[in-house]
Amino acid sequence: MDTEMGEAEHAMLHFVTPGETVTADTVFMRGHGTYNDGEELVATVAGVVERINKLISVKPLRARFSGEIGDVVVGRISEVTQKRWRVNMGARQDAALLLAAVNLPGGELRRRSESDELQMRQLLSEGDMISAEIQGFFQDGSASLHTRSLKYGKLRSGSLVTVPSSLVKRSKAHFLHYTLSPGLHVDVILGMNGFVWVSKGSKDANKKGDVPNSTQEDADALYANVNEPITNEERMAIARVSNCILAIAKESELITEAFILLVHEASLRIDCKDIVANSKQIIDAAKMSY
Amino acid sequence: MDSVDRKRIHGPDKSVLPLPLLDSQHESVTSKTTLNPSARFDGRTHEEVRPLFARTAMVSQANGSAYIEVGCIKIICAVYGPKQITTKSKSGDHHSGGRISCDVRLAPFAGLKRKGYMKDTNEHSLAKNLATALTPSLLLAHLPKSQIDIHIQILQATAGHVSASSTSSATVLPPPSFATNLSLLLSPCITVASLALADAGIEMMDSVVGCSVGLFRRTDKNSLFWMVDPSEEERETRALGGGVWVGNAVVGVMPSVGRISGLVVDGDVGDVGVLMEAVNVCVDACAKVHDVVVKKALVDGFHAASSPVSGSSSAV
Repeated sequence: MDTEMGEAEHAMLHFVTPGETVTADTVFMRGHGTYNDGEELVATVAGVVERINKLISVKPLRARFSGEIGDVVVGRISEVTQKRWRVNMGARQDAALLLAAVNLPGGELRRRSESDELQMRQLLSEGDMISAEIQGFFQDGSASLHTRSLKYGKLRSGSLVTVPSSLVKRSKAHFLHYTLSPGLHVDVILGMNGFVWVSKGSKDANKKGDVPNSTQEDADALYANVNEPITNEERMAIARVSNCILAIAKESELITEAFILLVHEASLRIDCKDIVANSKQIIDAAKMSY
Repeated sequence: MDSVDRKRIHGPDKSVLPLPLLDSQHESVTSKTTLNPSARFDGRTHEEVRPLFARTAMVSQANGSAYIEVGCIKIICAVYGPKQITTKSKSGDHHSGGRISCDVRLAPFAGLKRKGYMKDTNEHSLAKNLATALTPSLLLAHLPKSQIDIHIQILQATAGHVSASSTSSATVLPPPSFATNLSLLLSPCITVASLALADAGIEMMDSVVGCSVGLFRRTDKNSLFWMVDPSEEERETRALGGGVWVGNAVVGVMPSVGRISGLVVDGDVGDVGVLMEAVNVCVDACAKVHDVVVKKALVDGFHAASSPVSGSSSAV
């Protein structure tokens, strides 16, 4: 097994396949990706054994996203049902966005009436992209989302990039704002589920994520279906950042705020359409500039 | 006709003894001593499987995928999910666990003659048997309201073997046909589907390995003998070691757990003793394939993903 990783580094990793006994020692506790077969702890997925004190779990290489409360996710509305939207966020099951968990146009503290229920499709219809936060989980393990802040809601003026969810790490900042050159802004929403939204940036970075002092126009704009006007330069910038994120994912590197910027700088001498094809070269150059 | 009570389960009019269960009158002659090992085209012993090649992560947009090559059979499998069940009819779906849906398709170019795709009952039964063999291995109770889609594309299903002895073999091979071929495709389908499921990170007790065994009747004596992992020529050739094909069995085995997850027998086998013996040998063969090919493909897939340069390959 002569891979690029050092032998010593590989020796540290304990790789198991389904059905393989992880340990026969009974002092350990069963974590994710394992089951008890009598005395033995047996792996149910192919992956790396992780031990935290006495808890043993097996972490698979590729697994479906299973979120935690507070995760920022990007998803697509798949169905409009009574009192809730179903949101596809690349997890085992679709998440639910309750009507009670969204900001309605016309003020936050308004009772949801039946007429709101009938007009749900005017707010969000099938195929719309949204950003949201995981509020909790139902009995069956499906997530419940909320968009009760002005930073969440319908997504416009941008493009979706899908990457493996394991490459997005939980951090303080999932709403990123880049000023690539004076007057050229790009916003990136790093969904924990591996859906990344790259869009035309707002002019002033301070506007993002601050306490909503919602006015009527803000709330109406929340659910608008029209893109903002986007110049050709902005289009190119969005495409370049999108391709940079794809290139990072192709090289299996973590997607972080700083690394996207480094990769973007390293990519500037290459044509936008060739970024993914030359991913290795660009990522190596970006790593050098750390 | 209307007088028939549909709520009652009617037995058949005539009842027959299902199988001559280990009948002492049918003495089972073990083939080990009598079968000439060189009777197989590629010089295998009758307990030996064909060389296999397996590899994971072949389809980039799928959640998990695998590819397998056995002789001239080439199969690719892609797994999507677990994802939300999309069908509207949830009424009959009261069990709490997830479910799997299998789809097996023969590519238009899979055979010797090109043919357009047509939905085929053989493919349907192949998919059904595949689902049966895979379900016991999966921990579907952990995946409520979700489904896993398994798509199998059979890229090549022609007869033939990649062995040097094929030229020296003087036997004239009959033209292979598809209908008979499909039962022999089940065992690689099981192996590749389970490998793809493991690649997708879906929880399972153990990966399932498929193995088939062909049962033949000697033309001179009225006794049975078996050959593990028969190729299409062996299946078709009547003159092989003086044997006539009477049936075959496909076994799905979970080798680490030591359980059989599926068994399909077709043909007129008759002697259960010989069948049991053949299935036991299949189980051993599966354990070998599991250790040497399946595990290695998964480990190689892991190393390939942690450093994108290295490839992966494996063979018995």
